[in-house]
Amino acid sequence: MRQYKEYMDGVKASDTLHRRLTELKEPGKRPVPWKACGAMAAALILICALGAWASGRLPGGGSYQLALVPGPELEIGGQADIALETPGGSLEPAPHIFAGSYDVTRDGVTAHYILPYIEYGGTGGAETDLDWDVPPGSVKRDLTGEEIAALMGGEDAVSAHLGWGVEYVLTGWAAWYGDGSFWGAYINGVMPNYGAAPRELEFAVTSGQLPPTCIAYPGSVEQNISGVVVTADKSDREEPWGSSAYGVHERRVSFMKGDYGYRFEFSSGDPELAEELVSRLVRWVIDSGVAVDQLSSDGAELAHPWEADPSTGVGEPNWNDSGETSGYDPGELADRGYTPGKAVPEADSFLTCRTCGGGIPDKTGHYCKPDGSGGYVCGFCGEVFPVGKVHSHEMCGDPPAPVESGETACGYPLADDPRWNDAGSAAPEWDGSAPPVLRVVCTEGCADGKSGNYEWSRDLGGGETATTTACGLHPLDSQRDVPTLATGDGTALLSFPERPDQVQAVCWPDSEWGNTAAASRSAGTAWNGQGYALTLKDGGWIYEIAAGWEGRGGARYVFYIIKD
Amino acid sequence: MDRSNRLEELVTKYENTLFRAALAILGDVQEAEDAVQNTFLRYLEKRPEFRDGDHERAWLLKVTANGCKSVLRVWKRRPTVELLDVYPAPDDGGRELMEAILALPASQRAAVHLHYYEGYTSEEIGRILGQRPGTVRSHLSRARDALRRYLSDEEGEG
Repeated sequence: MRQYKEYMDGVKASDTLHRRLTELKEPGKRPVPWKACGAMAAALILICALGAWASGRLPGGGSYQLALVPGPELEIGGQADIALETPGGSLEPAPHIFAGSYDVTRDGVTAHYILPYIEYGGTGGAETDLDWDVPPGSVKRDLTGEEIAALMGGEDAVSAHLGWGVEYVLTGWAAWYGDGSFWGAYINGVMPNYGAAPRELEFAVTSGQLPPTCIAYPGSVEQNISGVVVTADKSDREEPWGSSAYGVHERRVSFMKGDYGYRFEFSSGDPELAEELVSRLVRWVIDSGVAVDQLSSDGAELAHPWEADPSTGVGEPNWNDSGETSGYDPGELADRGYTPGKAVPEADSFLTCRTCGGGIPDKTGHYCKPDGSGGYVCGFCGEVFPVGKVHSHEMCGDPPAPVESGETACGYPLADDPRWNDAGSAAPEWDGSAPPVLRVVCTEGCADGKSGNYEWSRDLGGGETATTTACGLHPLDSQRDVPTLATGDGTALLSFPERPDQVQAVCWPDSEWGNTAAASRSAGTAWNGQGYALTLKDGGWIYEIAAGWEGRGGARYVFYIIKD
Repeated sequence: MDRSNRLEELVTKYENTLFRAALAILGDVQEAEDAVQNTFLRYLEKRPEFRDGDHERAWLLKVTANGCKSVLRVWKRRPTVELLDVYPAPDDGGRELMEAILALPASQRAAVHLHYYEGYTSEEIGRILGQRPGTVRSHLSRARDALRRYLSDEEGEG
């Protein structure tokens, strides 16, 4: 970037600009927008249109006049949210709460829309950063601003109804299954806010299910809005800004409407604004839905390119900043019986698994995944092998390392070995700044559980703590990078550097890969003095371990074990 | 210090910084000058109290970046920006890099400029651009990937 710096160093503000700036005068005070809107609203006779979300439509399509703009959380009768003006009409009282309103004027006619009141369950001050992946085999592409608008019902819907004005920078993507059917879309919108919390929205829609998330909000509240069960929660926290801080208020909802699941989150320094925009979104989507048919998969590319062809694209060097290849000699691998060219080192001396795409530390075993046709593909040698058979790269050339008595293949003592009592022998060292590593130990090997989902608080000193929430894939969507073990043992040892206060285990059969709606089954764990003994089921199962440490947080770990 | 002196002090101190950032994002001298002018207008309007120089600098950059984004929204899709001949052109290799940077999406250009030129961390850039640090890191990562691809393509053609 030296050239960039040199170029920019040469860029100077012109003398003309300097004069323009130094001669600036303080601008006149501009009207506060809400005052202008309020005055306009009070002056208008409001003409309302029908909406579908309210607690019930009027019998006989009756219409009513609203004389005033309802204030926040105003209790109004069970009328439709928007009604046509009819002199002499009246409101029938009914216990339905609304959360304000907004107006849209078109061609001199003003429509008045009342917003549903949503109750939010508190989930504390945790920050969530949703980031989710798409299923294997799907194609994906970014959306243009026009496509985002089309998805949401048009430019008018985006700006006038949803309140995502031009100040928001909107980006998004959509994904389709391999057969071209719509899988889901995601939209992110950001509006910077001077010295305060930025306004940010995240909207997701998926076909046939709620958009995936790993975060569970135990305090969330379910409510019925026009026959749709809407789950809502909120979190309020403070973000540091220099030596001070500003408030961030997040409001989230999720619901199924028709064949689609929706999730929406809005964060702002203003909680009332956040709740208004969430109410707008809920009203609009329940009333009008979204137009997924406006999106075309044309131009979409395979979301996981390594799926395209197992014989190509494997082992392409990763672009790491290091750019160095060390510790790898192709000739050495060939001499050891590996098939050259099928597993090639990345730039950081890791190997790329052709099936899962993950990096494999050189000279370690790697058990791979179903190939979709009843067999497995070894990520190391590329050979297909039958379901249920243990396969590691050692089987392609090197004999497996001898297993000493009382020791696992990865050098760990077996569960009943007294060496587990030695401090530090059971699990990696841990400084407490992040969730501990879970090491899963079987006789034939060991692996560290994949932990994409956790919430962890660390002490910053001075009485301050920082909480980090990470959200990864659903375990059944983790097929491409979940650690895998194969064993003949009836149990696996779950080893933490510090014993959790709570441990819970669930599992799914590997026939459910990709089916995030599949119900989990409980798996047994028991403390044996060195760790938790996990009872393994026959065949291939995906296990998820939820562990909690009092006062610090919890984490979920995923791994896959094939028991012969 | 009276207001006019305070403004002149800020202008002298930050006009180049803000203009460079605006130019990096917009790639248009006239629009960049307007964005900087709007930033100082905003300052006169708000009269914020800055805790220190870092806060002052970050606030002004934030307002400038936001103003640039508003311009970009109006432009809709303006895919690339051309290297400006009004400023000293780098040597051949540097020119390719500059052109590659200016070919990045505006969000990535902003992150690249604030990180590599202004020296801000992803967390600080996140506050300036109103994005989460992870989003900034993603922009930077994509930008690096794009620059590598672009430069390798250039070499291949050459």
